[in-house]
Amino acid sequence: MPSSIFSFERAPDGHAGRTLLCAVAVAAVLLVGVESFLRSEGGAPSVPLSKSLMTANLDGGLSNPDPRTTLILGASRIRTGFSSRVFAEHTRQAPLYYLATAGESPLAMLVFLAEKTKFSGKLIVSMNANSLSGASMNEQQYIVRYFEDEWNWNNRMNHIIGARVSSSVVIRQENYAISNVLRSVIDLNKTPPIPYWRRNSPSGETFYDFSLIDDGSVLVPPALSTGAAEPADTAWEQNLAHFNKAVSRLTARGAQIALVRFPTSGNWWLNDQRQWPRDSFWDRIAVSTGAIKIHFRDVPSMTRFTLPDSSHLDRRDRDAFTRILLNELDAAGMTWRK
Amino acid sequence: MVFNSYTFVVFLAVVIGFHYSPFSWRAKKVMLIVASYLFYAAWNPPFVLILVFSTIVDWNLAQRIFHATSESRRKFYLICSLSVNLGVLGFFKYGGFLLDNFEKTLHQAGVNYQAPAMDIILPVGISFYTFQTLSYSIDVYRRRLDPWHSFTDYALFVTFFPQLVAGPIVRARDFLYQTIEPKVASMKHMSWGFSLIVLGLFQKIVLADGLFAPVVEKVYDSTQVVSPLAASIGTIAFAGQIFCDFAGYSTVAIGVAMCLGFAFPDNFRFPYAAIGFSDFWQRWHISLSSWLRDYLYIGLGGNRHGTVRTYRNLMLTMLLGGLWHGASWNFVVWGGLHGLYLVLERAAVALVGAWPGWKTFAGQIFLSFVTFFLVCLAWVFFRAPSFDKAFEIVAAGFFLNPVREVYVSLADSLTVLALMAALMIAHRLLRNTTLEDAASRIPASIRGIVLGIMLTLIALSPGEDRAFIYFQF
Repeated sequence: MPSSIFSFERAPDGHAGRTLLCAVAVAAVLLVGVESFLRSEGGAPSVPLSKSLMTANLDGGLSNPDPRTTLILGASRIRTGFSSRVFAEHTRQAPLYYLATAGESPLAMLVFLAEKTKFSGKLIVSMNANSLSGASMNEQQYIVRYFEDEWNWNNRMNHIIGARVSSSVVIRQENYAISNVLRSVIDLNKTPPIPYWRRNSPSGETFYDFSLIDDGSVLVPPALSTGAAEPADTAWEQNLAHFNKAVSRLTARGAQIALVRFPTSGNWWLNDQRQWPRDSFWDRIAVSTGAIKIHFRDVPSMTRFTLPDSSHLDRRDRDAFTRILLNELDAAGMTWRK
Repeated sequence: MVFNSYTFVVFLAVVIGFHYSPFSWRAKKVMLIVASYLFYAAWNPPFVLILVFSTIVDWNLAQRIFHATSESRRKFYLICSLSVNLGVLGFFKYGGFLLDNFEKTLHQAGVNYQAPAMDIILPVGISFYTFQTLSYSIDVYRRRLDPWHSFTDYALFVTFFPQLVAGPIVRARDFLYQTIEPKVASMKHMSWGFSLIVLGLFQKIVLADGLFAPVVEKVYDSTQVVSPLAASIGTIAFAGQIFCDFAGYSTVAIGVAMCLGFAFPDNFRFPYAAIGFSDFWQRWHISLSSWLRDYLYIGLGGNRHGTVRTYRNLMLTMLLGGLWHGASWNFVVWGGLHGLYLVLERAAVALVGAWPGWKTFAGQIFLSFVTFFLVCLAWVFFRAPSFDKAFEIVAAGFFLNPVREVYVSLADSLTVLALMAALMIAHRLLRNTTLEDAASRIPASIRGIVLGIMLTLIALSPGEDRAFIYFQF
């Protein structure tokens, strides 16, 4: 056993400068090489959809004094289907913040906005009946908790630097992380595709380019062969009550809320209809809430889009879809005029 | 502020810039204290007050212990120090736990009492700096150390940011003497310090967070029943994760301190090559195990009062060591298992004696595997979110669970097994040497290339910064 317990006393002698120089040079060459390779193959930077990004957006939305401030709540469908560019054109640069996280119900965020903030701007909420099921109240709770307990100067600064780096270089894209490369090579027997079909902007919106997947239909879920619709259970009823209470509170202080059922097709739509039939669930939400309601099936122009995975809009369709949605919202009374 | 964050890179660059500027040594020490408070305030600024309180209290009590004219007064001041430190630790760390158990005990006795929710936030690193300040008071009481003449130096000892939140737990007599003369790292130390920082970050970001943690989370955070393979792979992955996470932190801490010219003690010495549990605890979290040995085990009488008392002292020390990690019965069980292992090992050695077969290569490898297996068994309780989950994973690992819902992929299984095999071989090869000895046998340019590759892999490992596991303790 070595006698010294201090690494300091044992530090290796000789050529310390050369070691440092060599390390920096090797890292620089490798990183520039990987970055150049990824870019030459069409790779593009993508910002991770982290809790820091969502919290920064929440912070931005709450501290913006502009009454036209708009928050986007929901999951991946609204993140991929709602274009910030079209929104900026339509509203003449009203502030917009994405708070939509993949596969998670926006209920916790909505309740937080209603009960713990003075937010009185506009909310576009992408939801379906499933968003009020079971433990949906907990799903975005981690962002709320992070915002309340840990969102301080250090985490803000870290997020700002991190987002800047991630949006500048391709090598920080999660798809090319060592762990993902290993999983892809061993489990799927191929390296991750470059360019990757999913990309996130620093604002938190996501672009799906289905043309980059060999066969987009591989993402379509199988149809549910059995299973009749269950009636609404206690948890769903309670979540609906929480949802309605939050909407009432927000609208009472001047906020405008639009509830949007984003398009799905094929097996997604069929499975959803089997488990959560529209008349038993969505229509009940629509009747009970004071928010603006838009179901894509009620707007014929919204149903004409092809959804390659039967659940999300391709990046080429998002502008057109957003224009239709904003016109519908205008017609329903949600406007961004100064 | 965590080491694996962008803000820490900026922070460290500024601190090193100041440290090597032409200010007086006293001004630099004050700057290091201010930087350390800033580092700590990055979590929760009000908790800096606890740190200040702890510093002032122990500084004063140590002076009083030293100048007390009678033994009873010395003891009185020591008890004050222990009460204040353990009181603060107890309130923040164990308040909710004790209340919860009190409530449950009353409930068992038929009394329906519901205590008000305490919602206490645990100040980061409180267990670490409490043990540091305690060691100072106890050393002064035991006359192993005179109270330090400079409050600035003492404040730097308590708050010095590289070790503040997750160790190594530095003893006053190891650190305070380093504050006398101005500290400047030589090129040799700067280079090795930088190498340790890169190695530590590689362990944390690439191995612990990037490769081990997703497998561990899949198995341990699942609400479904895991398969036998998933239970085994998940547990082996956790053994890798916790080592790379914690040893990674300690390595960065030692490296950062070295870049500023300070020496920190080792905290890990290739623990997965341990042969037996006495050996394991001389290699794992050394600064804590030696603290517990010096201030608790020996305080309880150590091995001086016969076999039974020795076993009792070992069990108590390990149970309290388990509880030190967190207010949960899981940690108590983890500590209890390690106490039991130590007791059984002692008993076995006493009964059987040293059989020459154990000294052969095959014997050593066998014992090393047995040690690792039992360490992993204890890790299940350390990591599982509840007793039920821990027992479910143990049952699944021994094929006792007919339900199988969670599986791990081939990629995850191969990655975990390959990495752990590499880690264990490395530990075995380096068991009787040091990292520095091994590094000094490699040409500087090769060392540089290895470091460069590690740096590249760190940059190629994006994702949310995960806090170090030991921050919660």
